[in-house]
Amino acid sequence: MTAIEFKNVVFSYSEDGGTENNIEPAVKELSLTIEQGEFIALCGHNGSGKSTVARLMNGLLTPKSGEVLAFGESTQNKKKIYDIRKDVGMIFQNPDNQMIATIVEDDIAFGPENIGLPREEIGKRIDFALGAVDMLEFKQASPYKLSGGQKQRIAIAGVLAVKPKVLVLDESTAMLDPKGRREIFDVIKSLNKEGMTIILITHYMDEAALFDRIIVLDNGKLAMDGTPKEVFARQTELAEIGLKLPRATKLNSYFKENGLDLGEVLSTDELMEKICQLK
Amino acid sequence: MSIKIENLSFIYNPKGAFKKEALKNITLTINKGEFFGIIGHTGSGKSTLIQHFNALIMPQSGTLEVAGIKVVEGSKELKSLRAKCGMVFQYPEYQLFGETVEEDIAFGLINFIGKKTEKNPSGLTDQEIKERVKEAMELVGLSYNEFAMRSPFQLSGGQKRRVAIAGIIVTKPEILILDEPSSGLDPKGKQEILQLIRNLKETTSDTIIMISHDMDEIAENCSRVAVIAKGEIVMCMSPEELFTHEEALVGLSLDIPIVAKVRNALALKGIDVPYNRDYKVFAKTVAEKIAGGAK
Repeated sequence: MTAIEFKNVVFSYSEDGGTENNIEPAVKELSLTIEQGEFIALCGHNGSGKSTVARLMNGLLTPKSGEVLAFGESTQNKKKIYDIRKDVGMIFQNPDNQMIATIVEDDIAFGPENIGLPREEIGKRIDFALGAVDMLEFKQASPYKLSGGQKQRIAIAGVLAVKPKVLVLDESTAMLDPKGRREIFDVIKSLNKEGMTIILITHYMDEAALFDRIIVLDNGKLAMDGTPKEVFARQTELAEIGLKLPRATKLNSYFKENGLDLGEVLSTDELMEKICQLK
Repeated sequence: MSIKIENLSFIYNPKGAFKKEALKNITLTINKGEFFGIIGHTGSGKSTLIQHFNALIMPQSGTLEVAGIKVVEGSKELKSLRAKCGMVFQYPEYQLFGETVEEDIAFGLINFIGKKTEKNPSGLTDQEIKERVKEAMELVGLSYNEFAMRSPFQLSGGQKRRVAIAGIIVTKPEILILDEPSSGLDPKGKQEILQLIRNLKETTSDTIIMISHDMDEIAENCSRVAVIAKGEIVMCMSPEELFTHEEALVGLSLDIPIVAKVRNALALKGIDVPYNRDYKVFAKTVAEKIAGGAK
């Protein structure tokens, strides 16, 4: 099943009440298909258009020309927009800006209440969502006393409570420390195993390396689309568009240059495993 | 020396129900000319410590001297301390407020040094303020003619951060403190900010104190690193030495640079390779050792 499809999408902020300085389209003729159940990292440097693409996915922005389909429905179809937003949930960068209630439980209830679920069902959804992000014990806590990683998990739970099919995370790990980043990765990995489509926007290539598919944007256009192995093989092009190889891949490429061939390496864990296997 | 701390302790809500001991008996000297790193898990006390450095928090017990000024409640020198010891907070771009970039950058200067008046003969004239703002903007790589009159809110994230840093270095602080200066930036933005900090060390502020979660960044820039855990300094040494203590750091939920990981793993196998933060040099030494051993 196709989850999200971009057909020749062009988007510009200039006529949509955006800044006057940004006249060039932010997204140019982008075509892209995302299947249900995929585990995708969407990469690109600042200003490459990745956040715009994310906002086009659930109709927060709509194309100037072309079309975005979410589960076959156009995001320009106003009658379907609530269904689309229910199916395609979105988490943003700053955990502090996404909390709306003073108690975790109330914060999670916001989405289910909004779609008019009965009280009993809301209770079940809260437990389900907090369980999924491993935060059940914080049900009665105040979100403001949690760590950044915990707050982002609550934000994810808030979206999970409306049971979306796709979760888009717009640099949701960028403000977190390494531990918080790992917490979020573990949560989205397990959601993906249960069938949810995950799209994480990031510019940490170490993080991108852990996904099944990497989509790279540059200047509003699709620059690369493939497995981490395929994308990281194009080292020179990546550098040209302001992205780096994962640290382990970079170090490994220097090993190879100097005659120590350990084979393909995409993550630190892989590299360490290979180092430990050395004679 | 730049900063001298002796037996500094700090408790949040000392009399309340939510009493929290944030710093315990910290003793530390940071010398003039150092690029000093501070690392530690979220909530370890890093921010509480650096907020003492420019008297945003006053010492509850112990003593603190910064740029030759004793930090004590009621001291008349605190404004001048804040001009000498600049603090760039995490995500400083969220603190911009001026209508123009120039106004935003001039704020600290006017506040800490003041305009020239009869009462304040050592203050700055409008022309001098303009010159200082211009100089600060150029140091952070923003052209005065292009950016001074623009609204800071129309700039990109990296540019905003530069404006915020310019607003601190405009007072020419001897000591510059930065709380996760590269956090949230893309790889190119990170490199640019770090290069900027290294340049500032050569031009305005020869003592740099930086908090970071990025261990490669720490290894690449710092001459000495303090590790804070539960309000105490548990280690303080060069990055080269620090990253040999892998187990201790992992135990504190801290990462180590990948080069150090490889070095330590090889050491366990009896292959000793000196740590080198340059991937290229390190890889070459490793390859030579291993190929040499195989022969």
